[in-house]
Amino acid sequence: MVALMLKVVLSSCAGTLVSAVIGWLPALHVYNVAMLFIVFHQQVEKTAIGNDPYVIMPFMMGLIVGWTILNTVPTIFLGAPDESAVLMVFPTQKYLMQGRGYEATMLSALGALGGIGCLLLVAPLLSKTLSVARAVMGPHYFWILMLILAYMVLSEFPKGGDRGPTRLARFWDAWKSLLAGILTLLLAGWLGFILMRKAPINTTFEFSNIMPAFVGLFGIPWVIQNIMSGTEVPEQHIPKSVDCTGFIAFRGITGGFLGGFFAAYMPIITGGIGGLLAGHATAQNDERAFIISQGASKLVYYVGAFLLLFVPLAGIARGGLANMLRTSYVPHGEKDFLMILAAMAIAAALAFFMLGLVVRLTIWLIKRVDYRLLSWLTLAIMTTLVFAITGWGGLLIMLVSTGIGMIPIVYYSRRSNCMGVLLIPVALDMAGYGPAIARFMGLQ
Amino acid sequence: MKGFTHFISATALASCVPGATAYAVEHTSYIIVLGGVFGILPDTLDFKLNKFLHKYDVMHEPAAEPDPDEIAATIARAIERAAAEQRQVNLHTHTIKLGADLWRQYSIVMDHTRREVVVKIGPIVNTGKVPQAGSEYRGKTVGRAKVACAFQQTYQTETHVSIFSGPSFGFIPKQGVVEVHFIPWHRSWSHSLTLAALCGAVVWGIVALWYGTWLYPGWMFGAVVALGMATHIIEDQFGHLGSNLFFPFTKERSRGTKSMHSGDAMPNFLTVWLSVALLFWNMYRAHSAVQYPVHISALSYFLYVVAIPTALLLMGSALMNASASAAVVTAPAGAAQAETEDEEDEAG
Repeated sequence: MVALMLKVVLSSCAGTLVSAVIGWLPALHVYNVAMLFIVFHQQVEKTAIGNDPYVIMPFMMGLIVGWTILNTVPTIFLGAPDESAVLMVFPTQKYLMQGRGYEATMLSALGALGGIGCLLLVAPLLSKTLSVARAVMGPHYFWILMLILAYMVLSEFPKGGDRGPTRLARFWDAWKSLLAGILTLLLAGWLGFILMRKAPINTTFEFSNIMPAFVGLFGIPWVIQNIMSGTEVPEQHIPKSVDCTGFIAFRGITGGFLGGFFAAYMPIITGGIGGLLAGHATAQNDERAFIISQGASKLVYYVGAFLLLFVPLAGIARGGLANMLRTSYVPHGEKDFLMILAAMAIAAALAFFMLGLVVRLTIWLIKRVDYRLLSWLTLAIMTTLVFAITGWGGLLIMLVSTGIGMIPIVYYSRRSNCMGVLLIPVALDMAGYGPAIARFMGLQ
Repeated sequence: MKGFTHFISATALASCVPGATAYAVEHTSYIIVLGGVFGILPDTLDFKLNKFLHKYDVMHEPAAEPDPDEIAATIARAIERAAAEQRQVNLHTHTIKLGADLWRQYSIVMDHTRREVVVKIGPIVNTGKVPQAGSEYRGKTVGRAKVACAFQQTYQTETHVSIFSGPSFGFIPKQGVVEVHFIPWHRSWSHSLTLAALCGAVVWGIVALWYGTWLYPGWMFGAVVALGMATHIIEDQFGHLGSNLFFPFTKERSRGTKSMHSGDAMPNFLTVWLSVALLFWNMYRAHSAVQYPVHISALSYFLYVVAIPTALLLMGSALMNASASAAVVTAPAGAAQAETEDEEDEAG
């Protein structure tokens, strides 16, 4: 028993420590690293450690918890958000430009810790409720996804249109951003259809298929914007306390948890979309609650999706990591569930402690290195990674996706429209319309 | 209410149309989605169409260093013009944008008892409406203009102008008094139960033609659409502004019950929660018990998913309101006036 506990503690700590390095690197998604570890695991499967799920699983949990918490740092300081963080970019960027990047990081981390607390709180209820929810909602997923898609389109409000010489001029000014949003959604959906049927890359793992598209849709446009705008990051302050009340924290955490958990449970829905829905559902209008909620949503989405794999009787695998692990290991019973919950709590505590160090190191770094140079470096890392994992075909996808991802930046429309890359093809496939559309597009 | 609240509650009520949820599953149909789409449609029409095509007689752009007397006078003259010309005069006053994320806040009070317009220049706020420290206006902060004719406020006396788009007012002369209508392009024809019924009938007709049969499933589609849209209109009646419920038979917005503000967190969240609970229950009722052998007791579901969470939310809300009231009692005079509703809140 003591040996098992020690194994779980050490493995989850090791995973968290590794995440401190990968979490800091912009655009290096945890699923890519996890994939490399799984390949490594398959190579050493015959050894004592390689064959031990109580080493591998807590390690993976440490990796994912640590990455989710620590990846906030490049998201805020280097402006390279992953797709689940697109909605938190604007308030956190504002904080950064006010010299309050540290504060924004801590608010986001507060949300993440709250998210861990909520997951621990609801853990005893998951087994029964999720199996029922799955049975009841399963046949309805196709229209629920379309419902979310419809809301994303309809809830985008015009930017501009306030000033203009004529009514028509004002109308056109307002509709430019709306049309750009719809165009982004449709183009991303079209790309998604192609990628899911005839992607020009050969990969072993499901996630890598879509990874270059995500980098192109979300990561590269943001870095290009940073390079072109020539942003000068002001001096960052490290305050002794963070400006936030208990009620704001509570509201942010509960909203983020609901959105993140919905995203973790529902196929295809990401933490960013879950966060958007939760923000609207809880009528959030405070920037601090928003940042906290996005921190909670991102964590609950990634960690929750992995956790679902271990929920007894639920039999749900959501997210790239869970799907990858399911190929080599099937968790069973309460013992595994408790083990993974313990690993989650340990990793969160360690990651939160490490966050302070990582953020101070980043502040020190951006004071000494030109921000534009860092953006170029980020661009180089992203491109190299895409090429290393997916080859020339992946680079091609990344380039096309970047073109689509630039539309919202140019026209100030909502960047989450890029999620059409997954939402549209999957929603139509679930409803059975996918093959007909694929035939129409000449993909079959 | 917020757009999402309208959307999800309309979807939930659409799922109550007999047979609709089962039809969605059995025919792989997006029928329930139509409920949500038509549930948000009234605001879509207003905020994406009406707002920009509305004709203004006066468009006022305050300077970066605003003169409150000038703003007040512009509004006062527009009211007088409506009385003099005996026709509706529409005014739009812009926000004061100072940077990408900075706005100079100001408020407009139309005090009909004193027949004057008072404009107060406030601090600089960011897009989250958070005042920036040390940004209080150094110039003249309060401006007044007398109005030569009688006028009547129909919505609220004070309007805060902060971010994005400024407010619009319609000044309508009526029996010797000019009525002030807040954002006159909002909640007019788009928020009428007549339009909801018409949309339902049109969709019924289209589906009937498509399937070549009048009754089924056309009536179901029509009911989902009409119910979805009507849900939005009825929910809006709980606010302050009200809607033109039976356009074109009625010409004006009927007053709301003033039970809540559209941006209030608790009623919005409670409605979302109850809507999701209802939606899930309808999915359960429509699911195949043979294929998925799940049994949920109606009583347990009501108790654990509806009654207890609602009671907890209401208790939490009451506690928060109590502490907020206590804070207002100890706050300086006038601080309680800060809570007003503006166009952005209405936009949802």
